[in-house]
Amino acid sequence: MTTNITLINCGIGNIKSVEWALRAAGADVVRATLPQQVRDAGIIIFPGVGSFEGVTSRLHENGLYQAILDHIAKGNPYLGICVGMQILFDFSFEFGTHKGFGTVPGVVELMEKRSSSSTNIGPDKVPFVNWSPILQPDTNDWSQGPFRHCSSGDHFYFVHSMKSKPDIADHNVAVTDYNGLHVCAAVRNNNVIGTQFHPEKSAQNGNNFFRGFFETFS
Amino acid sequence: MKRVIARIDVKNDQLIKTVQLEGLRVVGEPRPRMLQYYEQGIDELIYMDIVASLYGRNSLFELISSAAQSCFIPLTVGGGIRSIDDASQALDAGADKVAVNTAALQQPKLISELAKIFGSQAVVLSLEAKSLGQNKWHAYYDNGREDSGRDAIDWLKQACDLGAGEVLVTSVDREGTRKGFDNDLMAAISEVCPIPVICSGGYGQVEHAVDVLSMPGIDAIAVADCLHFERTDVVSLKNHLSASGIEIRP
Repeated sequence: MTTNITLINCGIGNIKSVEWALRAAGADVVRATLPQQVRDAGIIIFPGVGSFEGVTSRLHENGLYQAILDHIAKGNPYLGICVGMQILFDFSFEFGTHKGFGTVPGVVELMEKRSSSSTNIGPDKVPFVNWSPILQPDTNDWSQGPFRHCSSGDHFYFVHSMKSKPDIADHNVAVTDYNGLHVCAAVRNNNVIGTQFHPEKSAQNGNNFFRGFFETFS
Repeated sequence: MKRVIARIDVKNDQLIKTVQLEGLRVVGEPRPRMLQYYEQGIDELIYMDIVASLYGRNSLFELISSAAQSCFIPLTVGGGIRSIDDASQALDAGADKVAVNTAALQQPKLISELAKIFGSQAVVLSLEAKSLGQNKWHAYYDNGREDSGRDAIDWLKQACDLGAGEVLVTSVDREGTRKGFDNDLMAAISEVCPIPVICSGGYGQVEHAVDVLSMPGIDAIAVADCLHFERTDVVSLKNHLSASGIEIRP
């Protein structure tokens, strides 16, 4: 069965890669630039690229911010990628303090590199640009949900300077490890999912994730 | 984790290979090679239009688009990126990052403008370094033909300050020679460079890659003719690296 996906296009970044990867995983994709298209949507995917403030201000300008919040509040499925995940939290401290959707309690803060952290843990360079294995936390069961076709240790592609910190451990559904620093790789709160990694750039593992996501909500 | 990147140098829509960035040989169609390396598990692709002309750009962007529709890994496009508009077209065609050299040397603020609009993660400095001896290198441009007169390390530091997110370092002296990477150059860069470093030019055998990837500040290698001329393949190269203790994506 084909899954219908509405891809949010707020005018920043290249959403083509995401669209092509979704098609390769078996989805029919339409792009949404208007609030009405979000209101009509079943499953929405928001690939955020750029800064937190840049993304939220663009969503406000386009009237998409409230439409996405309403979509989530009605219990409809949402997948956010990168900044599309970070925007789910209460606040981000990227270049100031910025308010997010507050759908997943917690904050987004700057990731310190290893040499400047007091604990000598963390990535060697920030932004972190690399493949990294994702791990299943003890509190989570991957046999259900979007990671059903993934295995703990599968490699995904990450590009980020900010790290997300969910308040509730159960919301942290995948982690990755940068020299001993455990970083949230994915969150889930019921109908809402976010990934810090880029499934659209993660080869077959990304395809496996997308298919698991479709099956979770079909 | 260290990355293994395939570098696709293209002239007039043909995959080519040079020696010291000159004397080019035609290898064939680029797209089937990109797909082949992707399927074999390459971590990223770098696509360089070595003529760097603004003519015939449509076919370039079509090729990028068509590759990006099947290769779900990061794709960098370089060669002839001289403006925000050029970068925007490359990214719209499906590239994740653009690599800049000549235009950035002429006009360093291009780097900060690109970083501001597209984010540092999308801006790769392509540094063509040629040795002057005694641990000194100059930054070259126009595919290793012209000396900018600038110290390569100083230029790299400036580009980092301007917001470059990654650097692709090509040793003009070693490129296509199979004599090994310029380890002195890479060591000098790895000491000062705060952004990820991709090392290119000189791969001959797996020991060369092990040597350079053992340096803590070197994040990736870009290889070309060893794959194009099938002296090795992505799977064996990665297996060898892994067996030599280099942490890579399986």
